[in-house]
Amino acid sequence: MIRIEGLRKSFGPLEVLKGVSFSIPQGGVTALIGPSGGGKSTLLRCVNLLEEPDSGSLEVGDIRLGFGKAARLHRDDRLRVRRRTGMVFQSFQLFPHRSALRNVMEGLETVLGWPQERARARALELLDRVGLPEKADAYPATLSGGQQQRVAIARALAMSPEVLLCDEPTSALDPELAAEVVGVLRSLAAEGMTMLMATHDLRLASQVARDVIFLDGGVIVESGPPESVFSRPSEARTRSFVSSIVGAQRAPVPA
Amino acid sequence: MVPHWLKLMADSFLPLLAAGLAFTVPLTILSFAGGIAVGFATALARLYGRGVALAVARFYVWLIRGTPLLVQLFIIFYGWPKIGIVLDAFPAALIGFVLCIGAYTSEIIRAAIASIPKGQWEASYSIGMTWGQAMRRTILPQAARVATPPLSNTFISLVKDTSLAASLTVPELFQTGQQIAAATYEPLLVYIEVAAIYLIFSSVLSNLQARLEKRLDLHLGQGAAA
Repeated sequence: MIRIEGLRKSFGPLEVLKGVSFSIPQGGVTALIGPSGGGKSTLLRCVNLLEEPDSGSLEVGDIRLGFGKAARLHRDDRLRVRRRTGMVFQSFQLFPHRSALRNVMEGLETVLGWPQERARARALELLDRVGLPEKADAYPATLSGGQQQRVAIARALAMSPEVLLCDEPTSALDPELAAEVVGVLRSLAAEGMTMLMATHDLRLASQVARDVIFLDGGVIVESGPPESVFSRPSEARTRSFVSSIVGAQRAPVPA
Repeated sequence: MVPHWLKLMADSFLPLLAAGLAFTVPLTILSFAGGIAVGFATALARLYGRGVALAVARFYVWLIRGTPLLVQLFIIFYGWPKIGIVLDAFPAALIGFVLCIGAYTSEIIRAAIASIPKGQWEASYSIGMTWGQAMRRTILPQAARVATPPLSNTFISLVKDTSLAASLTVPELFQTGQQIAAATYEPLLVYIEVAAIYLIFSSVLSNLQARLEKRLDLHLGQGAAA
């Protein structure tokens, strides 16, 4: 479960988030859509405190944090929130000097202090879950983009996060490889994983998400189930954005 | 009948090699180890330090890189006694080399750490690592691969630069060569032999460096591509 209230974040004079509030229930899957620069990435990065919000509040599971000049964020709070949230990056960001298995084991051993054998067993189980049991010993440089992203998902899942945050998880992949990743995320959603994902991928937004939030100019313009946001958007800005991505993704791709 | 030049070189080989093994090699290794430690601390101060730490680090690198090593060694060995710091030749040389290597390697280490993409820090933080864990587990192993070739360069230069310790009366390879040359009046033969021994030392060390790089490559998975 996560709940965000009145979240604001500025970079210098530029206010990227202008008071964003929403919540995702346990097992809920929400897609953040909207134009680049609309604040999607910043919002995700605020949820695991890679960026520190200027004001507002954040609830992840039983952790509740308020932000503002009076409330200086404590290092332990930051670590606690990060241990409860998993992050999947657009550019995968696997550790290139570790095998797939070691990437997944890293958090278990270094952060949670699990003994090696237990971490290895758990990591193998997770690689199996993302469909890559045979790639345990492969290094990231030898994996395809889709495989790398699936290992990255396993790495994030290893920490048993309360919520999985995905920042454009399929944007760096060609459609075929993106399909692998969508498949994995869909099965996670079906198993009850709470997820918040920023995406331009209509397949991901419409097949996996139960709610869609359209974020533009740092505010939530519209939200609702994917059918209604995609088919019957009530706001003009949503309509024009949705028609632009639908148009782009339905257009035949020249060979 | 063995020719004169061959006998001279054969007779001087062992004393030269012994001086190399007893002084040149230890001075090189200790200076490099100490220099890396100083260089790492300086790199961290320059990357993450503020205020006094940053100012001290910058001043140190500026001072050492802007002055000749031989002059630095002379100040430490011949100059410091004037302010009450009297050191034996070997420790004086060691301090000089550590300070010098520290300044140069700090720039290499700083650049190597800075070259690792920000996303690697974020990926480490995202699984709950602290700054120290991210540095130790994610950043440094990758930075080490980037820093190895330039650090090896510095190391091999150091092997040869230790010959400057001769002028502080350290009885290392070059100084021993000077003594033999003076006693035998054969500077050409003796210094060629000295050069050959330096060449042997630096070749062995380059070879070790190549092996180390190969191992680090394997760790990065590039060597594992099918």
